[in-house]
Amino acid sequence: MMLRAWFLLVLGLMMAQSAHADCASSDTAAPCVTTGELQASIAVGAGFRSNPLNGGHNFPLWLMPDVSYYAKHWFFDNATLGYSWQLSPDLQLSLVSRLNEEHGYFRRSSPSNLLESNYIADIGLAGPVQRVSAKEELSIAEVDKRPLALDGGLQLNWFLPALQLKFNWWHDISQQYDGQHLRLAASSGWHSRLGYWQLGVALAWKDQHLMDTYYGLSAHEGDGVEYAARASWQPEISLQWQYPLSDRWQLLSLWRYRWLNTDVMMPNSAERQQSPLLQESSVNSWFVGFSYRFL
Amino acid sequence: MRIVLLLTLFCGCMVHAAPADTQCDQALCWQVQPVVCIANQTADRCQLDFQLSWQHPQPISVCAALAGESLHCWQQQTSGQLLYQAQLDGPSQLNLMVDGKPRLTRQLSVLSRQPERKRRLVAPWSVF
Repeated sequence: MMLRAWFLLVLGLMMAQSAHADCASSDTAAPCVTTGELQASIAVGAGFRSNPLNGGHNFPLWLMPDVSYYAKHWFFDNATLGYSWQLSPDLQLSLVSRLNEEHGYFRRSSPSNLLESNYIADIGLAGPVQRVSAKEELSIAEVDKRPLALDGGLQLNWFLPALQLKFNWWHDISQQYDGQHLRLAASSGWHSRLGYWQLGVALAWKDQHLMDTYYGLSAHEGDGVEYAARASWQPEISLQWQYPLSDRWQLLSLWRYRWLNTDVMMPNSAERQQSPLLQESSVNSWFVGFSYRFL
Repeated sequence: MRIVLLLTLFCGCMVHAAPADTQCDQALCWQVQPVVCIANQTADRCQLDFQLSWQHPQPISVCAALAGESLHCWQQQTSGQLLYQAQLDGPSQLNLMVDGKPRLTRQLSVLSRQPERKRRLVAPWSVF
């Protein structure tokens, strides 16, 4: 049912008519940058990203940066470092690297999660805090530390008139989980009297090595029982809304819903169950606020 | 008296001044105009219509070449002219060659009115 809905959304996006412009015009709302110039924005508001793990805190989002710098080939864009080649006017291939985001669920002070605030999380402004873990479940406080990994890989961007497609192949270059993951994303934006909207869908595939490193349980963690995680398909849907208030200020709203599908194999049987580490099978994120463009 | 001196100096300059864009190597001289191409953006290919003319007291065989590619050759002449439409991707060297060796060189430059803009490869607010 969920995959069918996702498929229909992709189909809808592919048929959508959008107002995406190319980057020749400097006033287009399409995500464009001027090469050789640092672009920095900050958003202030309220929101959170849910933490699906038992005993995990939601990540409050009250301050979000958006920083990018593009040279002719090199680029840095929100913690992704890359080197790109233009294969054709609408096709770009890039070598990319960034921190794997899985670690962020396990450790609140992870560098891959820059937006947290213990104070806001503790007083509960960032949404419900998941503190309870049932006996058959495991809290992140009871398991071994999960590694922080650096991913490297390839990215292919395809800019169609009404649709942007992005394909990523990531590989663990830090040899922390010795695996790989793929992601295919499609997004389409359009202008209306109520501002600029962008609808996106994505489907990620994470291999067994990645999933087992983060969501599997060793015999030591599972009280003598080992839970091996399986490869996972993770669909997601997102919606973004921007309403310009002035040259530099705009209203900004973001929402994203991601299904995790973190199954583990039951010991001594072929049955599957959700990883005991997880309380929720999805991650829900939202943010509403104002953004200010510095440069 | 001072006015006369200034006038004398001015006239002297007028008499002795060669055209500002003339380049010479011994007796071989040439002029190239224009040498700057203006593109809309830095990534754009730029079309430059330039004129080249050269002079030499004795008959000589020369060739004009752009970025190593021969454009036109003159055999045993004392002067020559060329109008050429060049498509420039970036700065390029224009040479006047004698016996296959460059004797005179001009750089053809590309300037842009606007900095290059390109699409972002990572979604804005992707830290979200």
